[in-house]
Amino acid sequence: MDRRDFLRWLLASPLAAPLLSTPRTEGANSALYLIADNPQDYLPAIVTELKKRGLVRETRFSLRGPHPFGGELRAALARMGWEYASGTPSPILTLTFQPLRQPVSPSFTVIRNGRVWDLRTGKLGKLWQNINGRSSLSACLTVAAFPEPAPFFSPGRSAAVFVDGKKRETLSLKVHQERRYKTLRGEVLIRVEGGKAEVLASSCRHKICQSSAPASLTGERIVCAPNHFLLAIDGPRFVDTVTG
Amino acid sequence: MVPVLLIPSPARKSLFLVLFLVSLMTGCQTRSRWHEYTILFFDTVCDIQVFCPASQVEETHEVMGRVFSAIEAHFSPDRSDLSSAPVLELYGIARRLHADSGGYFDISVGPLTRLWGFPTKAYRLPVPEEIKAALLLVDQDAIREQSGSLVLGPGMRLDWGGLAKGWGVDLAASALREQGIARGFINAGGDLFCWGKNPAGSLWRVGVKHPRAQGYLGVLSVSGVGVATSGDYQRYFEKDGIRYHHIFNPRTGYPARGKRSVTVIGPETALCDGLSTALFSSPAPEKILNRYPDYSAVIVDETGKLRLLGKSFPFEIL
Repeated sequence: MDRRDFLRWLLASPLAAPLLSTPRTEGANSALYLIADNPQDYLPAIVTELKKRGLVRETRFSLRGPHPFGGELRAALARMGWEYASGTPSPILTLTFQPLRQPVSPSFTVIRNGRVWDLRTGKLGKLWQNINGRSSLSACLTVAAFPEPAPFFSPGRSAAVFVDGKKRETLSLKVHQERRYKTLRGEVLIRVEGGKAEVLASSCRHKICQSSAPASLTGERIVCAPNHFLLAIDGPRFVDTVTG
Repeated sequence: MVPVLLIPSPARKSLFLVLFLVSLMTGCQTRSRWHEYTILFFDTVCDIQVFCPASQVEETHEVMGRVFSAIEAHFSPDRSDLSSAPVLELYGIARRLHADSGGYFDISVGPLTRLWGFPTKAYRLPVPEEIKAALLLVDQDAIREQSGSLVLGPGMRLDWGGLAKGWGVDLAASALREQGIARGFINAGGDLFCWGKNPAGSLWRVGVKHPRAQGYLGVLSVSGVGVATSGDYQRYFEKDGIRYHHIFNPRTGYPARGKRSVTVIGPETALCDGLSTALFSSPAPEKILNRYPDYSAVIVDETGKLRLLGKSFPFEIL
């Protein structure tokens, strides 16, 4: 079985089904499929790269079920400063062992957002050549599942301006512009520049809105309570609403 | 009336065009679609999303304004008249929560919140003697109902913060549903009620904020329920590396310790609101929640460990 056949098998197997059925917008779960008899030799380098690429942020892991190289994997990740977090509800990386029916060429593959994600670039290119160049086949599949950081603060697309509870207009964050809004109690001047929106001036007393940091990420807001003015950044949403 | 077929052709075309445009416009007014807006109440931002015809949106604005203004007026901390029907009704809920929580929910914590400077944001760390003195004024059992009014002892002050917002959300959601709005949510600064299906046609996805990091702890998939969260990260100040937050243990007079956040899910937002405060303050939250079998809680303790208590709701941990 070569890599292409392996991918075909993987995509058809129940192993990948939960990942492939995840809507693209959620992006909540991804998994690394590592086929190697000695996964502890490869996993540290791969997760380091995943961390660099922003797919993994924390350094906690757990082992689900028995793994023939469980001890070695724990030791290898511990050497990198990773914390073994068995029993906690949300370890960042969950390792499971899955024996293959027939041995195949060693490889590693990530499925992310329902798509196969090619990791054979940069530093991992050499690792790929190393692992794939081995003559011995392997039937040891290690699945490392990791929930990706929630894109709560993904970059926004537009700024919605509300005055007295009513939406006045929506401004694209791509267009440089300044707008002045008259409210029942005064006025607010805002500027959109470089993907960010900010309050430049306000007639309110304490100028809290004016000293607020520019807003650019989905869900961020600038409020001027005395003027009943609200600027809210819209963009791709991960949830419908938020508590907390 | 002139039969349409007798109207000359060009005029007939214009008439059909006008009729078409009128039908299109009235269609836009009567066809339901999603409307989102934001209002400022309770010193916080309230998000409303409703599925209704454009012609009904103004009516929903009016309902929200009416309900929230009334709540603000009746439950203002400075209000001395404690005889209104809403005050007496909400006090009934407060009394139940006080009894069921063994006193860990207490609306008479007003002197404590003031002492620590939370209402004015002029935060300060009181000396133990001041806390001891303030605690003498904290006793919900000392509130009496007399001649259709609540009567407080000298120096006592009520703090409706742990209940009123959630109750306002319940009342507003109920009013909107009575208007025939079958899908939507009202979220007043994290106290929310959602009903019907979300815009994607499934359960509402409610993100529970992570108490220490950006993003979420997890996502609830719910409908027809209220959700409220009490957290030590919402209002706090730090002194000498110690975090002092706004949820007080009414027995000690100090901010309650042992938890970072408590989210409660259940049929009534007011009870979710009150229970989240009670569970946060209490060292035995499961005992309180046992009395509320339709409610569930997501608790993050001071070490960051997460616990799910009570009735099971779909909760995707991230």
